[in-house]
Amino acid sequence: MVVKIDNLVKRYGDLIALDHFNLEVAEGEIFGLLGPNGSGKTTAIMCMLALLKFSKGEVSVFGKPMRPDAYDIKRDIGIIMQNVAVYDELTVFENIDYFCGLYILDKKKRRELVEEAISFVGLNEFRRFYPRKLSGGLLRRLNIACGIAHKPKLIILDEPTVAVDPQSRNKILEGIVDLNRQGATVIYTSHYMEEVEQICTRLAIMDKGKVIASGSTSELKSMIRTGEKITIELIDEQDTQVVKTVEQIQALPTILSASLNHKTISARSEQNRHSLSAVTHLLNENKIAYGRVYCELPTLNDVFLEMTGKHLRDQQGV
Amino acid sequence: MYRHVFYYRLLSGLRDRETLFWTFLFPIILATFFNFAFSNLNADETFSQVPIAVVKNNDWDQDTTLQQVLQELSTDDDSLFSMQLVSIGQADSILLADEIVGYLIPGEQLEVVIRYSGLRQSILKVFADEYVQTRATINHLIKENPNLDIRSLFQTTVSLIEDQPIKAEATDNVVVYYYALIAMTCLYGGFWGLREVIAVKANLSRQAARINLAPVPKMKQFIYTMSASFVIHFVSVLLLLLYLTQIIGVHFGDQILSVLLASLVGSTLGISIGALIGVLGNQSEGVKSAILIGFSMLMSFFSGLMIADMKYIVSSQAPVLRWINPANLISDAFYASYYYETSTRFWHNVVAMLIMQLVISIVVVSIMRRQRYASV
Repeated sequence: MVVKIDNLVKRYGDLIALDHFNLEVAEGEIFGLLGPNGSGKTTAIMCMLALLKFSKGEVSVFGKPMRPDAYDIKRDIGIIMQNVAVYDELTVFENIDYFCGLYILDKKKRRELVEEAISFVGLNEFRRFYPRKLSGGLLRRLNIACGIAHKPKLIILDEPTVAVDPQSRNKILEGIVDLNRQGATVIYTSHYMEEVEQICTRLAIMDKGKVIASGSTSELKSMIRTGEKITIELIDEQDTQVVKTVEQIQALPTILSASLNHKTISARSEQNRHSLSAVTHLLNENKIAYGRVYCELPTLNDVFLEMTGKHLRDQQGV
Repeated sequence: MYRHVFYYRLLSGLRDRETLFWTFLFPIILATFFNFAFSNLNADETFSQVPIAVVKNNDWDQDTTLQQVLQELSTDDDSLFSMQLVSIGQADSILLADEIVGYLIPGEQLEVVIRYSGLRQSILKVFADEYVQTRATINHLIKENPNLDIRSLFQTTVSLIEDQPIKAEATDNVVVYYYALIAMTCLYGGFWGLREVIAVKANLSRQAARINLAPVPKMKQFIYTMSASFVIHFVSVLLLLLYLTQIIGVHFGDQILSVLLASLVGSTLGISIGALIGVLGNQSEGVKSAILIGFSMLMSFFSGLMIADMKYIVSSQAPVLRWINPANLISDAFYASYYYETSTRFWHNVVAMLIMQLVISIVVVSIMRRQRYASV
């Protein structure tokens, strides 16, 4: 295992930020740590990196205990923090060179790595710019370049796409996959489930400082009862006939729940069961006019919803 | 590694306009204002004789003591008065022509006639009052005790003042203000100390958190960055000294090595104080900067930056503060090297600064060595 965390407990006064938190990340993975804001993702990362004190638990990285003075381990880690951590008085090139120089002493080799990192994040034309002149997206890219220029074996990205435009976001996500292809193990924290689904090979869902489920995306989705979700947009206003039809849909043996919201009927089908034809049959039979019909597979939000009773973005702050 | 960190912290520091303003530009601006404010101060204090007249009347002829005293006070060009003996009419006319600042009419009260009010007129008035009062006292004593030897009264004096040899050329009181200004500048080195603590202490900045995750021991990183800041600050202080001596024309005497040593120790002390404010508590950078400015200004006030006499008030009323006020220690080291022939007082100040710096460094290092944080 590249990272192994056992029973980590972290308290801030009376608040338990990490509650017997466990995690295992294997070599070559893009591991997603998914959870709403305040669920303990960043705290878990900071404890893992021996930056934060914790009350209980053990952390090992590359098979060795992680301590603040474990410089041989730190040499192979790259961290991209949630908040941009660069110097305003240094240019793009100088910032990357400075942070890379804390890991790589050979000047020639460092120069090559810095150039590579600048190209990788697409900041070639901004190399002489000061950070305050960069847009939010470009700033995030600089933040990433500062964390990966020394070619670490383990890269930790803590919500790197917060407040980033779609173009930069795609560039960042493609870059992460590229880094993984080049051999790096990646830990990626986010509250954006689409991103995690898009790039992560395995993930853990966190809530209130605990891992409530972990596995691949399909494994997680198979853990819940919800299968496909059916949405029907009605043409006419709802009437007693529509209400009666929704009750009939609810009564279908493969349907977990059905609801009516203005001119939209939503129904959740059981895992591995198909209910679309039965639902449309009832609509036709009761002469309910409908326009569009959608059928979607469950998302990670459904997994979170079923496990915690709340939406992943309930506590979203951004 | 050292050269890499040193180079980038030096570069970063030289581009940090806000810190450079407080530690370099602000003292230069203050020195320029001081120069404007004090340029005529010494000229005003240069003594010139007070031209007076005395009306020659019967009382003058009878008052031989007054004649002797005024003669003593107007014998040559260095005397207090240049005196003319005239009639009342002549006295009025030369007063109107501004040839004299006033005249005396001998008599029971020794009347003073002036046309304008001012320092020189006040000197004449004070003389007249002193004379009348002393004459009355002596007359009273003789009346009470006719055998009293008046001369012995004035010869019996007790000295409560210990003599310290003062340099012959040390006559410019304005330099006290410039010493306090240099002391303030040295203390403003605290901005650099604060800046470097913030750059290395993970719970104070994002950049520091990133640095703490790099494979470089934190104390090494701290020492490397502090050395870059020290170079910037010490050069700033030297440039201020150059500006004061070469552009403004302040004369600090011939003790250039003492001035440099006091600047060096003062600068490191200032940086250490900033570092101490940085490591204590988790307040924001803005709050810590405000504390540093407030502290520096208060200490500079007590060392005489705003009121030169404050230095003496503190020494007499709160002598402990004189030894624990870093601004006072720095400015007093300059003062001692400028005024006194002996270097004892200078070294007392330097040693006190070094002890203070040692204590502060022990506190800073013991807090900085903490390797994990409760929160970041």
